[in-house]
Amino acid sequence: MSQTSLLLEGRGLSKAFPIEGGVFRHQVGSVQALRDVSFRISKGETLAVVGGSGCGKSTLARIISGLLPPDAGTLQWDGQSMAGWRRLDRARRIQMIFQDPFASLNPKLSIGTQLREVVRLAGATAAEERGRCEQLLKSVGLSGDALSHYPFQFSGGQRQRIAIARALAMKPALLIADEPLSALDVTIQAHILELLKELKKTYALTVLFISHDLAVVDSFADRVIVLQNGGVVEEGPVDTLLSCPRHAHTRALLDAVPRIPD
Amino acid sequence: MIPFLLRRSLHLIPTLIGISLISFFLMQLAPGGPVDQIADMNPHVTPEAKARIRSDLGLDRPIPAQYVSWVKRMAFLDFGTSFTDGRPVIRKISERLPATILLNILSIGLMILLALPIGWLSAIRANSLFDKAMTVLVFVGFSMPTYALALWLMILFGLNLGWLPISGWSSLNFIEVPLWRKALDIAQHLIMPTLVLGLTSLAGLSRYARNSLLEVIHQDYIRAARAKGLSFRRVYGVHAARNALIPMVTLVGLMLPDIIGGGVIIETIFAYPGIGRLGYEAIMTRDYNLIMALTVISAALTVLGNFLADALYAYADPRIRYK
Repeated sequence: MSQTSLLLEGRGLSKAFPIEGGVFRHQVGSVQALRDVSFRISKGETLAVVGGSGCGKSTLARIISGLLPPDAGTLQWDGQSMAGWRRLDRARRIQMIFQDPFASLNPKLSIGTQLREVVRLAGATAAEERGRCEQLLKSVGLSGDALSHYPFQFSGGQRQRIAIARALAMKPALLIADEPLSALDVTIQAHILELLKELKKTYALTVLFISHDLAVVDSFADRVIVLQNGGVVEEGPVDTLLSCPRHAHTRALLDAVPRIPD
Repeated sequence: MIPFLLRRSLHLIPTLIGISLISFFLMQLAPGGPVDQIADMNPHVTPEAKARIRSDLGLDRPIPAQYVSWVKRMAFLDFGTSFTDGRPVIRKISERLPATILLNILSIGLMILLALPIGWLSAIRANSLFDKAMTVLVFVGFSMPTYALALWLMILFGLNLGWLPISGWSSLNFIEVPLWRKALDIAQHLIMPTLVLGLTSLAGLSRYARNSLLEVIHQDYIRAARAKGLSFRRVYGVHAARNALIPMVTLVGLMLPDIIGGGVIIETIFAYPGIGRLGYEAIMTRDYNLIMALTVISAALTVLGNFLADALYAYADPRIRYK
């Protein structure tokens, strides 16, 4: 990937979660989920964040999408600080896909309700709403009939498609995908990955792809950062990083990829 | 939705039959009986006379036959006459019904109106000072015996301050005053019983509301709703409320029988002319017909409450109505 313009830069991001305990539920310690993490994403690039469970991947995703405030550090969007941004400012530029499509769709609201409210926020008029929702569903390979249905009527793969459509409804520049495949069956994983690749091209998306599956990362990402215990241990273009990893943790992750012998 | 409700209402039939069976045979098992009750008043009643009363009342017939005729009468709301004054039971109950329903609807309404905001604010600001203060207050209300709170309120507002009447549900001059004064009079009499019933039953629902919402707001779909850029009100008011309200529907549905039987102690303390006090008096005087009628009515209301809860469930949860 050649050097293009910078879209998002994070500097020195840290986040700790308190552990409460004792009789009076006071703070007895803390978990450092992220320590001094810095990263850069260029426009149009796919940056993969990899690491074992509990390494801070999801915390990073939540800080970027504004769901969690960082303890320290700054985020810069296109050279401007994101400090004063309101929720809607962020949502217009950054959208997120969650890991478990069974948990990320509200079970009590129809797909139509859940899509329409975003489409409306994105500025569609009442007349455009329905068409826009149908178009979104079509772009993820579902028919407009889905609008009147509820999440429980869909399979895991279909739900993840709906979640992707919901994220795209805001026409974001940056899509954060927090392990979007790991709750799905292997065959479905391949379909969703293909869909993500296709959508990335159609909508010129920049993607922050969180994963622990290096095989997927290899086929999708341009650059990789490796997290361990909340800190960045290695960073680089996907080809060099995966073919000659320098850090022991990256090698351990690579060794953990199951290989089917020929 | 409609087919679901029809199917669900078919389930009511065996339940109601079961209730009538159990309450009837429990009464048969209870020691003593209406004849003893009447005969014991008079030492001159001979065994022959007793037998004649039994056959007059139909009590010498086989028990299953008695059950069938009881159920037949009950189906037309004919619960027989009261033993204490010989008036039809249904009349005695319907006289007391409005006062009780009014009191309990007000107190349950007050409880829900307080419990939901308290529970939800506590959840949104979990572990804040507000949350902790409310936890303490709500449990003080819960642990406080209703009669103690009732007596304290009576002393404070009734005796010391003289603001509110302390017993009955209307004043002595009730008949003479114009309509608006009548309404005002009843309202004044209702304030204290409503407060006592509402405040002491706040704990369950408000804690339930708090936990229910706390559980929901940590779900991914709430994160997703926030990440979508939805307003605070839409995230909590629509996405969270839909899911958090459902478990509470059952709890509220089960309060329906309380509309009739909720305030036995309170009605007795405030000398309030409601069903609760009627039931208390019926038990004290062994007025079987009246007891049976009240038992069956409150059991039927429990079943109805469950049915309504299911109906609301189906309304709130698409998974149920599609099955």
